[in-house]
Amino acid sequence: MENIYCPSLLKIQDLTWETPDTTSFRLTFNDNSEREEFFSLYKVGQFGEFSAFGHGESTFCVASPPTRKDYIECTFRAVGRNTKALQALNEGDTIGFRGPYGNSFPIDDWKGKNILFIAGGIALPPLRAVILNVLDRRSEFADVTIVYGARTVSDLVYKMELQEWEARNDVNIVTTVDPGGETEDWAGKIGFVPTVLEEVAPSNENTIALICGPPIMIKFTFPVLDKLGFSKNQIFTTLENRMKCGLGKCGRCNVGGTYVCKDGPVFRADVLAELPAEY
Amino acid sequence: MALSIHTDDFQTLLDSLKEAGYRCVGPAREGTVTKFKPIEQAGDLVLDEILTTVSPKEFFLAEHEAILSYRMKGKSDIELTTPSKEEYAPPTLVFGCRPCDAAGPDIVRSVMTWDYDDRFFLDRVDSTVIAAIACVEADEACFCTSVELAPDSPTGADILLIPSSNSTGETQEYSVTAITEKGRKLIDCTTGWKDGNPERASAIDEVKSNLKPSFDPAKVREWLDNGFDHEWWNTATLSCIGCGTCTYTCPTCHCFDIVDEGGQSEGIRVKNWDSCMMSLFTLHTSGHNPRPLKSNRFRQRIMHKFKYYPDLFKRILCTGCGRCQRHCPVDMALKGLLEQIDRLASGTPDQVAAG
Repeated sequence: MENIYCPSLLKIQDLTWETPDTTSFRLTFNDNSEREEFFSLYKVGQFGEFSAFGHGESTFCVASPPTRKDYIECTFRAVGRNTKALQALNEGDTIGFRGPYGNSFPIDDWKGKNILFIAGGIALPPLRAVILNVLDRRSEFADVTIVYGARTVSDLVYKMELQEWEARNDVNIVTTVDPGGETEDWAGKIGFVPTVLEEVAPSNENTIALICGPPIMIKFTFPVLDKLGFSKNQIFTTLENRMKCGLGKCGRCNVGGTYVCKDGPVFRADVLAELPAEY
Repeated sequence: MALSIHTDDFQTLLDSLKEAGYRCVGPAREGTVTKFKPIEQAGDLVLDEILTTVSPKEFFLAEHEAILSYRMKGKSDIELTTPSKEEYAPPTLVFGCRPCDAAGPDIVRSVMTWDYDDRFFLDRVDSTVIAAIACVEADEACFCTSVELAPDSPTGADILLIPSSNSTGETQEYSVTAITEKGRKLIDCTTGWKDGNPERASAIDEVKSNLKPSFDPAKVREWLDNGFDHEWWNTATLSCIGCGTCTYTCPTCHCFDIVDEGGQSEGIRVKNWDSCMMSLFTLHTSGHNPRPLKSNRFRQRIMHKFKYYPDLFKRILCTGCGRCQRHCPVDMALKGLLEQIDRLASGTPDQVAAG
């Protein structure tokens, strides 16, 4: 019988410092058949367990899309034992990975629709996989709008990609930093994400909104979306609860009777509204 | 053909088990507690207790077990090894547990096979034969009959021993029934069993009739459907000190942690028992905790057992063994709480007011 807890081995091909404490890895599978198996299953929005051997496992959403099949990427902030150990690794080093787990964003149902991404701080990585997936399949979708904010300029992740997206004429991107977080040469907006979203005022017509950020940002963004005429069934988010197995067995990520690792991590806002506040 | 076994033949059985390649674990004393331990001498078996202090859960879900070992090979290559079934799941007879303990692994199987198979649990279940002994006694903490089980229920057992009326002092004769093919095979390859159909001890049926269901799990579940935010949770769980004893002694609690033990160059990844009664269980890295209060955690435990698990798997995640009450340092009785919920569901005025 297969050992469901046994990870695949992945090599750090590329390491990028996003902020002073946040790192991105581009990872390649040591075993090509495991890569093929992963991509035969992987749908955008799914997550995995990433491990530095000797330190444990951490749950991150896969930050690269299923349309890029040579590697997977992840972005994480060093806050605990395993993330600190991962961050201490170098290019060429090997890590463990289990996945993909959980459900996904139903982007095939969104063909022909406008897609609005709203993200704050370190919560852009889960949406970045969807952004790249949508951009890789750009002709299938209508307008693409990205509203992304962080506390300070240095807290913005994917700075290179933000510039690339800005340079495209088929993406409308607005970046913002909290008041006081700007630098002298900051050309973006200054203000909190909900306020900036209200200024941008994207149309709710034929639009799907994806939102991911700290609880305080989510709390104040929902009323803005409501004001803009978005109904809850147009809004998707991705949840994180503490997990160990990712497989529905270890018993801790459930929100009421809903398991984030199996029924989630992606939830439509109207479904989420029915769940108890256990996340 | 009807079979029986006599306590005088237990040593013969133990000897033949060893010859047949089985280890036998049974109730035995360890310090002030009784637990399931490897048994070679029939005299070490403690079969006169209502229930052992510790359940035999550890033989299906190890308290602490390696699920993987890793070893650095060269600078950046790592070798991963999964422990072999022979190491962690030797052929075993769990002898002399009560029907409530035998039901444990049978109930837990649902979650351990939910889309993904946990081989560590399943291999152990496959290589283990459970011989349960029906109960001739119960105490105020027992409530198996409230959760669809009984003092003589065969659920989860491979062999069921029914104490007979033919007993003198410490010796006892049992009628023996093979419930599963696995149980039948074990009987066939061991000795000590005899032909015979001794008369069932009347005490079993007395226990059965005295142990009336004290709450209705269907009614409890119905109340739980809408009871998540009820303030009853806050008052009902006030005396809990969050020690987790209820979860560790429970034959169905299966939540676990995964951690690494070792250094960068070699070590093991282990699964450890964990407990939903601990605040660290759900604590996010950010410091946010979805279940910050003891009452939140107690609600999780009851909800998991009597609503979420039944909703998902059509089984109650509880065998009514009552250990959570017997060993609770502050006498929190799960049975009593479920009775309160039953009364809340019925709308008994004093309880609703108290809630």
